[in-house]
Amino acid sequence: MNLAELRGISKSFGGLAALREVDMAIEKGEIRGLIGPNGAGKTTLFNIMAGNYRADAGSFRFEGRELLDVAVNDRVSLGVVRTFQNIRLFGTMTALDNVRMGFHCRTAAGWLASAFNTRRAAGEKAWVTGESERLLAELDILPYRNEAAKNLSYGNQRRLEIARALASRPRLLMLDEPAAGLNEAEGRQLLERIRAIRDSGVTVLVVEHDMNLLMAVSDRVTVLAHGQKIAEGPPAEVQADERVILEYLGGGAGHAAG
Amino acid sequence: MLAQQLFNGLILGGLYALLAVGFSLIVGILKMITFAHGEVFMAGAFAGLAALGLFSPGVALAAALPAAAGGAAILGAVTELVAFRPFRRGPEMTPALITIGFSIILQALALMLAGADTKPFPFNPDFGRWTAGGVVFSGLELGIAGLALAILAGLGLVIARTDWGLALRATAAHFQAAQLMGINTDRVVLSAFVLASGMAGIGGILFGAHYGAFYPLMGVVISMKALAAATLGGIGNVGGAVVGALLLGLIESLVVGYVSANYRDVIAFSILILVILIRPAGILGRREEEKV
Amino acid sequence: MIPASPGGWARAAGLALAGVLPFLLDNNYVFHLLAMSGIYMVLAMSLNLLIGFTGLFSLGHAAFYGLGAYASALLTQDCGLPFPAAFALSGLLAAAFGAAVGFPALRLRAIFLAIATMGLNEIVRLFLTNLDGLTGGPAGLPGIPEPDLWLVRLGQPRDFYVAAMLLAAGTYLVLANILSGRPGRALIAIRDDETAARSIGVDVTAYKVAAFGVSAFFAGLAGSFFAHYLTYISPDSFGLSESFAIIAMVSLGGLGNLRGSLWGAFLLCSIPEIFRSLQDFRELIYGLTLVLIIRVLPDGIADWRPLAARWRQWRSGPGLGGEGGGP
Repeated sequence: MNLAELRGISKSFGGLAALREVDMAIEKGEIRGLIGPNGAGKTTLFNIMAGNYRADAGSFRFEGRELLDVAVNDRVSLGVVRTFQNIRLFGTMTALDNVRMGFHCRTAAGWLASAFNTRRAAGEKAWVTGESERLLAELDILPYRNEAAKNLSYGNQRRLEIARALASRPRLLMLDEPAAGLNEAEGRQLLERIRAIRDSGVTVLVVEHDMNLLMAVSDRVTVLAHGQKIAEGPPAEVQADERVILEYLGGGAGHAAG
Repeated sequence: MLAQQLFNGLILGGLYALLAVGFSLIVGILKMITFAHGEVFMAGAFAGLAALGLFSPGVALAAALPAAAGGAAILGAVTELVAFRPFRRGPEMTPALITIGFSIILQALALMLAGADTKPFPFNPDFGRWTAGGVVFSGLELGIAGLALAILAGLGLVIARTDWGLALRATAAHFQAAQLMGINTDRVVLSAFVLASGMAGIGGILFGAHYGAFYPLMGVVISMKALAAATLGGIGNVGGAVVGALLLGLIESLVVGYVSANYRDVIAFSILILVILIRPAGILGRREEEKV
Repeated sequence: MIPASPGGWARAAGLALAGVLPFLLDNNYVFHLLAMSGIYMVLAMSLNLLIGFTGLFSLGHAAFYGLGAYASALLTQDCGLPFPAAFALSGLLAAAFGAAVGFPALRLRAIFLAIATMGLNEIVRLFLTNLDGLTGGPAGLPGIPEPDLWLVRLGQPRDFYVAAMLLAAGTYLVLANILSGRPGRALIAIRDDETAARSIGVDVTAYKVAAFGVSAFFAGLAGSFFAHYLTYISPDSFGLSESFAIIAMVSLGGLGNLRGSLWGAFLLCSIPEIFRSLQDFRELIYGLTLVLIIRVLPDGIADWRPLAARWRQWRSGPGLGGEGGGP
């Protein structure tokens, strides 16, 4: 069954077409890789799905619901959650508070309830704290719970961002170059982590420069070039695809190798 | 009546313009704002007033202008060095807060040194008076208008034609790129502050001459009007600031002439807020698309 | 609230002692000073919610303060409402006004928001000055009734001292709860990274509007209290310089430090008064505070780490850096 279905997505920036009629269907429970040489439009597509960009045309159905007109923050409560290539944590907040932010869309305490710390608000707070610590522990960063996020090491910031995203209980987790800046050991850990997330029932979309990692982790891969989809299928199949080889070896190789 | 109002509006607009172009220069380059510009204007006015008192009337006018410009320019340089330079990459709120501090300090100092009472122009700057088509022109007003016009035209030429102007435009267009291209951006910013403040100082002494009044709070309202004018013309756009200033001057004098003097400030600030809300890029500017 | 730790008990005891101290002095002037401090504590905390915690650079806080003051004065004088009702209503009116201001202001970049709120402050002051029939014009409104709280009637500066401290304490508790709860964390998230906040499910627009509303609500309450305490108000009390004074208090205590705002308000109210000879220098002190604090102790007087870092840098030898700058 398809969890997400993109149809005819087009987007241009100042007359320059970034995406032309792109279709993509993501199956529930898979890890989908999204690749393409620089300027292929993968980041644009990613941002359109997350809601940061507005598509010029097309449709994005998620669990049967049209999302293109849904605001970014509302997509989160519907289950579409993203991370950022350049890690966007709440720098002055502690690691624990960053994860707590992930629970924002799953909790309800409003201004009045919080102002008077009603029993419900207090109960909710305690629950969020417990769950957040559980997530921090799961990602091996519990010892840093009271550190300001901006003071964490790069690798731990990456983990924290994933913990925060998981806290919002996504049904489609969108990872934007999650391996950027990680060393090989950290990259392998990430690979295991992504599989574990998939096994817990979350569908994952990964945009990644690191071809080895992407091919190793993805169940299926979608390849974009010049704003169009040129191939789609299991990694082995895609790697053997003539057009893909042409695009990557003829000009785009340097970027693709990452 | 109408012609007279239009003439008054142009004089007022010219005074606003001397301040408004300064706001636009600074915001254009740094994308940050100073809230001490009105007090720089006031300090320039008082520096000019002090010079007026030192010399005989004949020489005094020639001495007052450089004194006003110089005094204000020094303050402008201090503002840049203390409030802006250390915080180039920080949040835009930081320098703004420091300049608010400067503006309070300068007002308080002026109050202590000069007293709260309004100082008149030390002598009668009478350069004759003519009537043409029902409009009364005084020599002083023509002088003010001419000087303001000359300064603004000179500024336009300098920005358009000189190397410094090119460096200024490059820095305004892209600060980091200009730096990479070898432009000494710190010097460009400093000189922009000096220039903007010098013009504000001249505006101050002209304002004092026009209204025959110098007082510590003289920069408060006019700087907000100038900010409104700069915003109206698209803040960051020097030419737009002049157009905005003249337009605001005209609107105000028409409001005074035909509606009520009580509401001229309300209207000026309402224009400011409306422009910010509806067309933040100003009446001449293009709408910028938001980047994610 | 029951203190949870020995430190909490010590602090509570210290607070109680500090609260009793003025009664030992039993000096009306001291009570007056502290009552005014209480009002400014509320103003500083509520402004801090906007500029310190949410990152919304509002320069027009005195507009909400003035609106609350005039609303409360007119509601009691012209409509005959009892003080408690007028007090609550003036807070709500200011909140509605604040939310209405907040709504269009959200899209604006920081400097435009600053300019717009500054303009708004002037417009409010000009309307208060020019609507003679309603507001008494430049002469202001005299004869505002003193607060009648059914059981007690506030009259002496001592009463107002107690009431102002209760108001400040209540505001502190409510804002501290909000800030440690779900809405407060969302505000800080918006301040730290608006895009990331949106991408984790925060309705940025709604939170900014609400922040404006809540901030204006407390400013309105402070205004009402001020009007009924002094029994006389005029537009001059609510101009830009008042907004700037509140900003100086917030900066002194630290942007984003709620307890600091209490100190900032207290210190800037009392320093010029304690040193009587300094009274003429009141404005100068505000200005110097802003410049020095932002330059030297950007996190407020409670946090000396930036200065310590500078000192270490200076001792370890000149040459590198020079200017401190941000992190």
